[in-house]
Amino acid sequence: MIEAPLQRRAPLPPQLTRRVGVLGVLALVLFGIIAFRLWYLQVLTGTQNAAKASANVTRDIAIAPPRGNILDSQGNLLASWRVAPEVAIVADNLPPAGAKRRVLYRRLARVLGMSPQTVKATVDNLAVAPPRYAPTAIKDDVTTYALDYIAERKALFPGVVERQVYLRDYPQGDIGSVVFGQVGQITGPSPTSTGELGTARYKGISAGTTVGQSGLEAEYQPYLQGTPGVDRVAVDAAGYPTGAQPSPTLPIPGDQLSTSIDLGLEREGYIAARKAEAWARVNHDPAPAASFVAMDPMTGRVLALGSLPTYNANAFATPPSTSQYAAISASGALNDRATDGQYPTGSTFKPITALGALKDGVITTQTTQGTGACLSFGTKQQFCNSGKANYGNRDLVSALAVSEDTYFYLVGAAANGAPWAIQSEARALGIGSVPGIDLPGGGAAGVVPDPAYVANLNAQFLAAACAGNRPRPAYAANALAIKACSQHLYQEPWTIGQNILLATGQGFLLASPLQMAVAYSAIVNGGTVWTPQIGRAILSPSGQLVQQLPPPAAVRHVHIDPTDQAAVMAGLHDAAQTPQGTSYAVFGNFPRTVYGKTGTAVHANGQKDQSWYVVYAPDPKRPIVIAVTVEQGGFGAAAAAPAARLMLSQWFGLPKTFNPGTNPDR
Amino acid sequence: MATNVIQKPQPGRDPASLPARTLRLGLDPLLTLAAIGLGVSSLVTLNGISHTQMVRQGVYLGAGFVAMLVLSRFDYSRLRELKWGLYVILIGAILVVLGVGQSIGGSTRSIGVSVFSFEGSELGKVLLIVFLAAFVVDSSRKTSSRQLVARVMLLALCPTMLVIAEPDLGSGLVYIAAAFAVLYIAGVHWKHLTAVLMLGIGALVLVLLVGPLVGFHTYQADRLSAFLDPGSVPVSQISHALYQQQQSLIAIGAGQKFGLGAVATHTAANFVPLNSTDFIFAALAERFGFAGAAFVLSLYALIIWRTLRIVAAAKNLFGALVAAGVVAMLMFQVFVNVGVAVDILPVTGVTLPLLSYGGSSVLTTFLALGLLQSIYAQARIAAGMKGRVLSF
Repeated sequence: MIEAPLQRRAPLPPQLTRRVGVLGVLALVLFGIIAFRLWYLQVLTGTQNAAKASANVTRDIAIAPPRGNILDSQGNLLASWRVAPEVAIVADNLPPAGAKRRVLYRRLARVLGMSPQTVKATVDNLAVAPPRYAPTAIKDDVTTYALDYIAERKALFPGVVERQVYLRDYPQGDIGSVVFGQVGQITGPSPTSTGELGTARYKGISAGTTVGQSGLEAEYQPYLQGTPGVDRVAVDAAGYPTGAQPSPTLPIPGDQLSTSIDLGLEREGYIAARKAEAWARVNHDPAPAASFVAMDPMTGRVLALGSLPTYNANAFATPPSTSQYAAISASGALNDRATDGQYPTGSTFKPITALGALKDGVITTQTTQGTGACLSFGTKQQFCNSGKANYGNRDLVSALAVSEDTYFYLVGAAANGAPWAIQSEARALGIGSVPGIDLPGGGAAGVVPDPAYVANLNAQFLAAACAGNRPRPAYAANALAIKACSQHLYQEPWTIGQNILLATGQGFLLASPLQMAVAYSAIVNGGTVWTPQIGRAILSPSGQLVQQLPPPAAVRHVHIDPTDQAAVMAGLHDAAQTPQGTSYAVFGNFPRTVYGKTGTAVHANGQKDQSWYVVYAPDPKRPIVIAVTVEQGGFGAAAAAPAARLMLSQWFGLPKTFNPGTNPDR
Repeated sequence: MATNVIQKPQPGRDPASLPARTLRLGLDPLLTLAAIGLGVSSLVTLNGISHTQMVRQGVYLGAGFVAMLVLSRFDYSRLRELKWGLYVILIGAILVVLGVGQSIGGSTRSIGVSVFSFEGSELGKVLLIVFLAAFVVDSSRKTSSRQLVARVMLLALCPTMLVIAEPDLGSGLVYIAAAFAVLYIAGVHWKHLTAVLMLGIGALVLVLLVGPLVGFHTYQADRLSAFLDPGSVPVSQISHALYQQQQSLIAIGAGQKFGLGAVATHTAANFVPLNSTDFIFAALAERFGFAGAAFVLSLYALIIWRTLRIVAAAKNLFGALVAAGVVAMLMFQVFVNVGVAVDILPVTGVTLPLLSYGGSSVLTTFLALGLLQSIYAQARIAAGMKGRVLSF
């Protein structure tokens, strides 16, 4: 490029050329080293690094699947899902902890109408929050105004994201809430509990996931949950999505649960229970709560189950605020009184007493007894009929019909002692043990009292409350405790009086409406004690049968002599549908044959009487047993029985009239 | 090349009557081409990282290129007379930075002047090279080799210590390398050079290994320890330096033979810190693979080869020494920067000439290239006046 001739000019210092040459060689060596290193890194081991690089730049964010529907026996939706906007926080993208973050929390809380502390607590709840690069839900069902506000001021809300989520939806509102239960974010270990995370029912479910926490939602959680999808988001080192969004794996919705619940009957149960409460209040009984169970006595399937007070199940679909939760909890609506309520049952227990006494020969169907308004069994206490009525000597059928207490007092007195005819019959029919319904816990066990029970009660109280002969500090001012500790007795040891009370469903006896429904089902079906069951089948999201759940299992078959059964059934029928019967005012004009027993349980603590009714309506295709109870609702015939009639009318498609009676039976 | 430059005929003057050399741009064509190639590589690499940075870098490169053209038209020899003035500016610039500079990532390296910040230590590289070259030329006949070595090293150490205190160890090491190269090309005796080398290594050991024991600033020592033995330093202290190099390795490796192109997200997504400055080589290697990295390295090799030729062909010792300083600066920066990126050297904050994003670095490199162009042009003029034609 330069003109010839070439001629080298002598450099200034003599060794310069050599030294420049050395520099050149040095440069060559250095470039050689780098070139070899690059060859090694990029060509020889490049694939490994490529894998590392791609793993580094993607984040897997779980997409929560919609929960499976819960259906009634006709396929009506009891629980479903919907899509709703959610505001969430990606913890990694928040401003650094300190003033800026506090300002963000305050700003966000104001827009969402919640407290900054709640926002902070949600984000900081490391035990249950998702990974810090994934969104943590702050509020669901956000208003359009709030969404727009945040979207238009993205710079003011660093780390705040908006997304669409699947929320639980309960189209029936407050109907059946305790049956469906609640959904909520899976709980982690806390000082008071081990939490749900990692337990068998929630196996494989990661923190931050919404799961079923009670009721059917929890019981059938593994079926209903569905499989989360994965949104693989490309992010930069700071965790911000970089826009490149490889296609997500879509979530797979949970399977549907088909139940034996009949939506119409369930709804009518709530209406009826409310009417019963209202009527009780007219009669100056407070009636704060009520519950009902309806089941098919021939199959053990639960047709309806409900409890008042109730709450709108949707409150838990979007996490309720602390105050909302407190209000629901304080109302007592979270308790399923149908399965977990434990009450003395009053006269509804008499058929059980009768069957036990007949079986052990304490009485026969021909035995007549019971004359007199009150009886004394060598005790100070007088045992009287309700209202001190004297029904005279009666046989079993007639005694059941009028609910003659004196008849059953005599039975109780005669059966006091081995082989404990009443207790063993009650236990055989499921009282005193967990019914095992397919709800978490399986229902309350209740109490069938006997001498051992009272002795145990004494021992427990003395151990807990007394140190030697003195009450422990916590009980020091308690007169009962002072007396109990000095006498080594909390309750009187078993007396004949306890057995007499038990015979009429009083005393220490405790049973739930569910247990009474199971026991009556056994009585009417010839002795099969069912494990009551709500779930019928698992269906795919599109409605295909996935799995038929095993039918309700029989706990046992109790031997019931057909003659005994016939006598008891006759008594129950007469009680409902003959003029002398205790619930004749309610069922006398009912167009179908029914077998029903009222109960009016006396509470020792000064509360108003508890109203009970258990009824069986035979039908070749749709037989049904219904147990209804109204806490502090007055006479059985006054509150519970008319509610049961409304439910039966609904079940058989008959005109519904609330038809209260006034019979003051026990 | 230079002969192909078309000069428009000017009215009233016969172009043929003008001296031939004034018609030429007087630039070393290969050196110029390599610089343009690197500038384009820089823009292409930055395009995948930050559009803003790419645009700004374009402005810096343009300005730097103009500065190089301007500087190449002056006779560098005049700078010899200004040597003490340059030295004062050098020390002053570093002191000002130390005093009022912005602190970036724990070190104070630049003074913010409204729109852009300027790193005194970068410009100092060129100033120091020119000063040392002039000093050596002026003193070489008066003093013994040993004295010369001692004085030069002392004069170089002053700014070096100041920039290390910023702390900018990388620039400090560039100063030392440049001073060493100036002495080396000046023909200083091997014995003295070896002694300086040993002293330098001793000083480094003292600062990096003994310093931490007596509570001296430890982050350079930590990086060194982390590099030599990743398990030796608590994670909290070394994680950053180690992280940079690990991520850089992943990115470079991921590039493989021909690069990931537009999907080179690893560096672009900031997994490699300083992806546009100290670790731009990782971004380049990820996007364009071994092929791209080798291409850029060959451009550097081309520049260094041309610079070595300029050292050998300079019309006077001053020119040769300036060029020697520049070649040391470029070689040191390229080798150390890439060496850090490929994890054969501990993390040291040195920019990759012309490739790294940053006005100071780009301008400094172009000023150095401008000096080289001037030395080249002057050498050709001198050769022409002596009736000889220089071969490059």
